[in-house]
Amino acid sequence: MHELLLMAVISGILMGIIYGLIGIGMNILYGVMRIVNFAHGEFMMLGAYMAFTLNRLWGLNSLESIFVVLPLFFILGLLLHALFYERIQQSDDPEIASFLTFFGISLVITSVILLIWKADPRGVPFPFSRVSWIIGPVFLPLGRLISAGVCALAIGIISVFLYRTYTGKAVRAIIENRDAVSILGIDVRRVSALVFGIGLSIVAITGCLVTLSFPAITPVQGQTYTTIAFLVIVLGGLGTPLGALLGGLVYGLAESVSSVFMPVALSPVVAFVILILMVMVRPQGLLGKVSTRI
Amino acid sequence: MGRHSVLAWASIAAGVVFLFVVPLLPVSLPYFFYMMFWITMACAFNIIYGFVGYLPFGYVMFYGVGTYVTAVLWSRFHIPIPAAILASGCIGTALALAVAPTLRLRGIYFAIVNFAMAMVLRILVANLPFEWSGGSFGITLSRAYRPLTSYYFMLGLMVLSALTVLWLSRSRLGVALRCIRDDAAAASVLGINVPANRLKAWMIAAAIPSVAGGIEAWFTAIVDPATSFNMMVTAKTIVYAMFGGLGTVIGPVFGAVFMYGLDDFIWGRFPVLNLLVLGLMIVFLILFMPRGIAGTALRKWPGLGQLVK
Repeated sequence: MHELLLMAVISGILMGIIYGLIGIGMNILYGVMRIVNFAHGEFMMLGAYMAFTLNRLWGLNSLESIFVVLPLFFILGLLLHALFYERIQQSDDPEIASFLTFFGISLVITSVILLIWKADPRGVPFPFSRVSWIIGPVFLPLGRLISAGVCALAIGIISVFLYRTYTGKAVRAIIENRDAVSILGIDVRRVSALVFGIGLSIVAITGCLVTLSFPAITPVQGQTYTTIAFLVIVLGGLGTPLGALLGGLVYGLAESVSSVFMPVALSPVVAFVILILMVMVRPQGLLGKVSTRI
Repeated sequence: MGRHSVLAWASIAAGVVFLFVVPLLPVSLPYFFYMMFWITMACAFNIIYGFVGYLPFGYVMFYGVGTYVTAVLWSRFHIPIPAAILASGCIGTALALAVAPTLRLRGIYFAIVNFAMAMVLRILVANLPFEWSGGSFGITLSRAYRPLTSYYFMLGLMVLSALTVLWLSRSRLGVALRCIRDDAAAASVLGINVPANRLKAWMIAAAIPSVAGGIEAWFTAIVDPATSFNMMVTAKTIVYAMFGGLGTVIGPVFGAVFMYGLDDFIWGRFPVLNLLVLGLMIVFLILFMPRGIAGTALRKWPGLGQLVK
């Protein structure tokens, strides 16, 4: 029992880091542009399927394909920004408008995936000779260990960008106060475009890593990841970029530890119940400051 | 009543009479059943999103609970279908009352929490004891199958929900709800009891899809968790209502008739493209026509006010 619990905790922390990066990708868009990307998980699945095709075509493994998918997704982010940013900002309620727009986009992506890759589960061959490390009584799943490592690295780079660079400072300033920022001469439009690119790049990384952490991908998994991203950022605080890491760890641990004590079929319920309770009790998140309740 | 109003009322009456004689005509009964189903859903959704401004993104849960209550009561407790459908409405309304505290939330928070609740209900229903709900296989009601009777039940519900919206748009409650949508704080200062009024709207908006779910379960004679809690029900309801024009009386009716027709046409010919077209349609509507057909027309010709508002 103790070993089982220990493994659940380790697996929870590893998945928590990955969930954290998934959340950061969504949260940075929300923080800067008030855009609720309901197609987050579907974009991830698109990245995962691209990794699958890259593997088939050129034999790239999941990690190598990040280098191809990431630049493409950065450009995709700029494109989405050019297409939708202005319109969404002009509508009566930008948050709801973006939410519904990206819900529409999620349907489009799902059907595109179905058209190109069909509905069969796909997988990328595991690139390493060992599936897990065994340390004492504990099994460490190598795929998730490496995924978590890559995510931790990405989170580190994003933190340096946000807290140590001039542009990163502008990004944080916009999150804090959109209106004041334009008076200071920061070009909100340009920073938003950059953030859209960065947000989608993060999605590309997590999408490719899905193929490393899980044996199979299917077109309809996207919704699960969107929900996880939501949960993680609501836990960490909407618009608090690094809060998502905390949210990811809390959720990762809750999910894996609860699966030790509960039937696996009910484990998503834990996620949703945490989400509902969190929004009702503390809508600003574990770290957030702004209250939205009336 | 002006000339336009007479014309409008006459065409609406003609439409209802037509739907009444549809079973006698050589046309597809399911097509018109589902047309009325979507009109009902769009009208009910309009009450909570169009009038009060709350977006319940897990709206499917009321429909889903409605289908299951009717199916379980009939198959497990041998309660006659009409009584079971009534119970669906009551339990759906009770569910709305139970989740009423979420109405404190606004905008995106309300939408997400509502969505999460629909997901929880789906998983819970799928994991009910097998003899109750049949697990993922669901329940068949083939011995209760009466397509014609259930068709007329749906017709009745559709007329009832359209009349509810019409009454709402002309009542004190409707005015209060629109005030809450536009500025809840100001409405409260004006002496409008915000929580009580929006709770009324929320319960009406929940009761209608719950009953619709019960009738639909009777019509198809089968329920299963994947269909009953399919997110596409929410999505289609939003799109249909929005296309016609939220916050207007006639908009959602028109939107549901037109969009369901289009949807059915695309589904029949290009099944794979259906999702793609629906997605593009949502994006287009939100970005270019957020007020829908009726709302856009109202802006261009304010004289239409009496007809559509």
